Amino acid sequence: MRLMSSYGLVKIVVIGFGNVGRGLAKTIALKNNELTKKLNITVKVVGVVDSKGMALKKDGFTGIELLKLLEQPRSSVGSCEVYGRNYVDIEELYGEVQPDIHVELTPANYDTGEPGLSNIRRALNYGLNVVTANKSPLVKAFNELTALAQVRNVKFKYTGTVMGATPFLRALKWMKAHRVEYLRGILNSTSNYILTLMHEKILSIEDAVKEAQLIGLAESNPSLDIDGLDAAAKLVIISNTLGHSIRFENVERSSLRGIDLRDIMIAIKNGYVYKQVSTLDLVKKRASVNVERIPVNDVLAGVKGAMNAVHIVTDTGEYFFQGKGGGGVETAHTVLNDVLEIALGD
Amino acid sequence: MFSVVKVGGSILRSTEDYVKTAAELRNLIEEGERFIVVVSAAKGVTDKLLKYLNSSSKAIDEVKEFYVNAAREIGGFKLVKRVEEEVSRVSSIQVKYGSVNPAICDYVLSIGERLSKIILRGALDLVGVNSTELDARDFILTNNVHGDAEIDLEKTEPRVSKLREFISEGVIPVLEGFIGSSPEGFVTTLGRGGSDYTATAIAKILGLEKVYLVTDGPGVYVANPSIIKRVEVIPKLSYSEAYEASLHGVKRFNSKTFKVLLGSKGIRVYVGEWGKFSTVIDDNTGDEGPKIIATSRDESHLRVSIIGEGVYRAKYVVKAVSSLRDLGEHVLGLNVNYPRPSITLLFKDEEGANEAVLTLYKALLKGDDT
Ligand SMILES: NC(=O)c1ccc[n+]([C@@H]2O[C@H](COP(=O)([O-])OP(=O)(O)OC[C@H]3O[C@@H](n4cnc5c(N)ncnc54)[C@H](OP(=O)(O)O)[C@@H]3O)[C@@H](O)[C@H]2O)c1
Repeated sequence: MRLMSSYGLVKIVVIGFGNVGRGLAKTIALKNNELTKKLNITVKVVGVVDSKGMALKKDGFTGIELLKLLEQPRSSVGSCEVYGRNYVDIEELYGEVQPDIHVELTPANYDTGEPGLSNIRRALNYGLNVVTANKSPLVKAFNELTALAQVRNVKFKYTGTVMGATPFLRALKWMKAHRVEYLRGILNSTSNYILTLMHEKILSIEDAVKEAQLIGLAESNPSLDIDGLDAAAKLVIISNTLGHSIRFENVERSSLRGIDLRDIMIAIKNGYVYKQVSTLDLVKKRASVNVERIPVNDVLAGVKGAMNAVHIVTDTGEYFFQGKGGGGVETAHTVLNDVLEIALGD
Repeated sequence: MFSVVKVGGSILRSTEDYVKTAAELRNLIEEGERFIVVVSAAKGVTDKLLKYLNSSSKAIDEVKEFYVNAAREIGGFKLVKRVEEEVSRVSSIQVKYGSVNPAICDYVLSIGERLSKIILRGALDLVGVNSTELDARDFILTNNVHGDAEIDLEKTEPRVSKLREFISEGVIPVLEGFIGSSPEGFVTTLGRGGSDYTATAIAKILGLEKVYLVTDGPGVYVANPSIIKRVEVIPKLSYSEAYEASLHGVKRFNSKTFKVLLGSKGIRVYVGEWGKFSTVIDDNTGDEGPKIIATSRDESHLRVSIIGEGVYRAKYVVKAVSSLRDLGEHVLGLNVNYPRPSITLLFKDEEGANEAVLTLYKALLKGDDT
């Protein structure tokens, strides 16, 4: 692993300053003193980038400066006073601030993997450790990126890409002695929240989507969530993490759009609920994200709202993981844990 | 030692009011005070947001117009963009109050305070005060009773303690009153007048000595000023008297504001306007006897309440009742709220109730027995 700038200090650049990027800046601003006391490590944000510009400070932004960066509207970090630049040039950023870790929090694009894919490649080639919550580069090039990190002798961590706020991937990676055979879970918070509203408040899918948008869960285009792309991407990452390559295109999918209130009412009457269930069968080598009718006493039926859960079957036992799937600040905590782990040399 | 200054909506009616408020805050700093600012929504905004929840799309436009204008005048395009970002989150969706998730109602209501905070921060920049915006959702943790949430003091403590760091760095933290975050991570609101509650809860958690509740009057009046002209302000109340007053609708205080202080020591709450905080509420029980004549209304009655430590004692009850002998036919009944510091008279009509306020005011507060 590449050594940190100096003992106890870790310099990071944050690429993508939306929900998670801002959550990360806020978490660092509010928790840095506590972390320094606890771990003897100080995380310094030395650069922040959005789609239009960047802000950089070689010695790292203070807590107050980070909070003031949060007061910049979207796409405006470049126009912040003193430290802002109204263009994005990541090489220039690296050159000036010499970071230890590149944190990639740009939006997912499953067609191209960009901008995350090129950003991560560049960072690894530059010899930087990388932490990401963006799934799409991993979906497009899992093997290439992990191999590149090895060749470059740097760390590449992506715990936040699956179950955002819950360190499930971390546990899964750690279970090296187990052979995971089968996995079934709820991996997309937005669709789970929408389905919960449809069952509990008898809302149409349109109204439920609107509520999820208002609460900040669903995007203005909810397709990635309700058509199963987001969950499929997570299955690809899980499977690859376990050493089984699967292609995104080969994950079978069905959409929530096919479910109407009549289906829901009939299901409830007969003791069932609809859930978006992600399944990975490593024995049969099949992966799917389907909207399934499951009995109310199924362990996944009790996973409601923005919660995620995964039930895994291994050669030695079964395990159940449950926790919040996302949220800007919550996912930022997972990202920060990855950063800290790198800094601690784990 | 620092304090909490809560800036009420009643003094935030226009763009100039934000600048004036910022200037007053700067004066306080120049006088040596260090504080946390808790800010309410501008006057009338919460009502407009409620109207919006009742399907009036015009109401959200009015809220937007007010804050966008303020943003434009105070901070220019960046501030305008932030206001627009916040409003667009709720304005794209037409919601009906009651039929929607209460968490959504709270989300919609919370933007009044959020926007107000953004504008006040801009105004503080304008007058040269080094301040920073904080998000109350990161600091104030509540239960999940949407619309009337209670602050979880224990869980909030470690978060609010961080405010000390900012103040010691010479920065004034500005956060919204009225809102918090539920265990599920959704926005909650604390009920009407909830910003005062945010302020006193922070003081209680941090063991601060002073809370300023800045409003548009000199303090707490001893009786309804629309019934009694040139009515006096009560200079001193105990926590339990203030709590009781809030239960009887005085100054539309949220009762949790003072409930949270019951049993505390050493926190003084100053109520009033800039330069004139004529009512002080503290842990000292003070003199016994009637302090406030309050009027309120429930579904079927008009209530006139006499508030003050020990007012349930026979001598005060007798004095109150005998002063009302000529109003007998209007009075429906009397409740002695022992051991709480109040007695309540129930009236069937407004005329009788108003007359009683006047009579009780003269007899009990002015010592006029005639
Ligand atoms: N939100 C969650 O709960 C969650 C949970 C787990 C994983 N994730 C993943 O984490 C990533 C970030 O999520 P988010 O919710 O923070 O997304 P977001 O709010 O949309 O923010 C994305 C950020 O990336 C910036 N960006 C876009 N293109 C860029 C480019 N070419 N160069 C630099 N910056 C660029 C955007 O800039 P502008 O501000 O200029 O638009 C924005 O700041 C996504 O991949 C998401 O799938 C999110």
